Amino acid sequence: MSPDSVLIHQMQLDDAAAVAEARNGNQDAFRVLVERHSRSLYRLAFRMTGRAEDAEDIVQETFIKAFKQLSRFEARANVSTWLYRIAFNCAVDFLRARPRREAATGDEMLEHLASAPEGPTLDDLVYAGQIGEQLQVALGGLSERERAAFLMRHYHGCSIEEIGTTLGMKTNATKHSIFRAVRKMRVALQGFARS
Amino acid sequence: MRPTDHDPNGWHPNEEELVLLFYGDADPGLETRLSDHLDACDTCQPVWQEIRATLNAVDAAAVPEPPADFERVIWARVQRALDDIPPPVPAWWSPRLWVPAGVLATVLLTTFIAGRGWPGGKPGTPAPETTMAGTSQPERALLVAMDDHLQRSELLLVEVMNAPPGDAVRTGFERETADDLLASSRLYRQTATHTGHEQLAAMLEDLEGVLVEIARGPEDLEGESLNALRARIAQDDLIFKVRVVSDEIHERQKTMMSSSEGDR
Repeated sequence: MSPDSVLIHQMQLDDAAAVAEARNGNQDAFRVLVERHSRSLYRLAFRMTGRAEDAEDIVQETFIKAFKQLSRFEARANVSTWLYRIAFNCAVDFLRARPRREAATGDEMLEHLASAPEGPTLDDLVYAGQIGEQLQVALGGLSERERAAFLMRHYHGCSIEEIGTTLGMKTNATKHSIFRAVRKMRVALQGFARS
Repeated sequence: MRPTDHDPNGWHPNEEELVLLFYGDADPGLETRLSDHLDACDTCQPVWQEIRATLNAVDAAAVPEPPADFERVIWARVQRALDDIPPPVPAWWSPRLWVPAGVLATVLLTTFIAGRGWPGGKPGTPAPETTMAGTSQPERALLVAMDDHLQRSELLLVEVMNAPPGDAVRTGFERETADDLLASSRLYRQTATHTGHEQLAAMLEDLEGVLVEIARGPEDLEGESLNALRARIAQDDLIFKVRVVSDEIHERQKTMMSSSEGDR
């Protein structure tokens, strides 16, 4: 096969086939997975950490761990769910290792937000990008698990069952993590949503 | 749903049901009932609007897009790291199949311990006949197995420690994993004991105790049981110790790889 046709072959691999070939030592097949899933993992990692450079490190670490764990991947499982799970654990480890002074505690943030005067209009916030910052503060008020469950449901469209499998929680516990997250988000974004 | 006196239907949806409705997770019957109710109820409409506004505001906050060549950059970084990692173990060499072989476990530990000198080993422990230059593929595979064992153990411990307060941990998967890890963990511990490496043996014994608790514990780990297990993991610094041994193994793997490159 010519280099081009090899490349086309690699890009056409579905996730399961790419994992199977990567297990046999084919790094190009693993590259397919990296190129296919990097961005969605970056978004998850960014929302978990709030920093681009941290998100990049987490994406890198996720794929390195995934490579090491290729032999443990169950063929029936969903590759993106598997990667989310690894990324989630990397992000949680990262957040736990991050010095406390770098992030206010959730309660402090909620108190601060609840006592803040009404913010500018939503349109202003959107265009100024402030809502993004506010959101990161709000996400900082969630536990790691609430944050991951909320992000996976809200942004990545994962089902309750998928989230439960990824985070190792029962359906009810998963739902309640999302409920708690939404409740906290309502408090944290109160002024902004009303505008 | 909470019953009320003033609502014509006798109830108002609660916040949780409205969140289910927003995400399309309400079952069809509830969804219809909620929609009908929201059309008619002046009390619930503002709450519903406020939940929607909040969650839509969340949508408005886009994550900054990484640069166009992000995938290429990440791959370059990952690829550099992969060069230091042994290739994936073929399926027929699944640790589950061959790790329980006691002789191989002894070879692994003897090789590993002698190569890195785990602190606490008895002076005079016979050195293995294998030399660095003579490292073989089976030895490397055995190091991969030990690495795999410790990584799985670490993930399991981290999952138990990460469960949020007040949530029960579903232990179906964890119990199966712990059970799977137990047999090999015992062999590693026994070998460490026989070769006089008390500290390593002690760490593996602590790990084994936790694995037994998870494997034989209740299906839903919560409350005092969960707290006790976490306290035990924290008190023994178990995650830290497992990581230290993992790091040692990685170093050993790197040394082996560079030695074999030097022989070529």
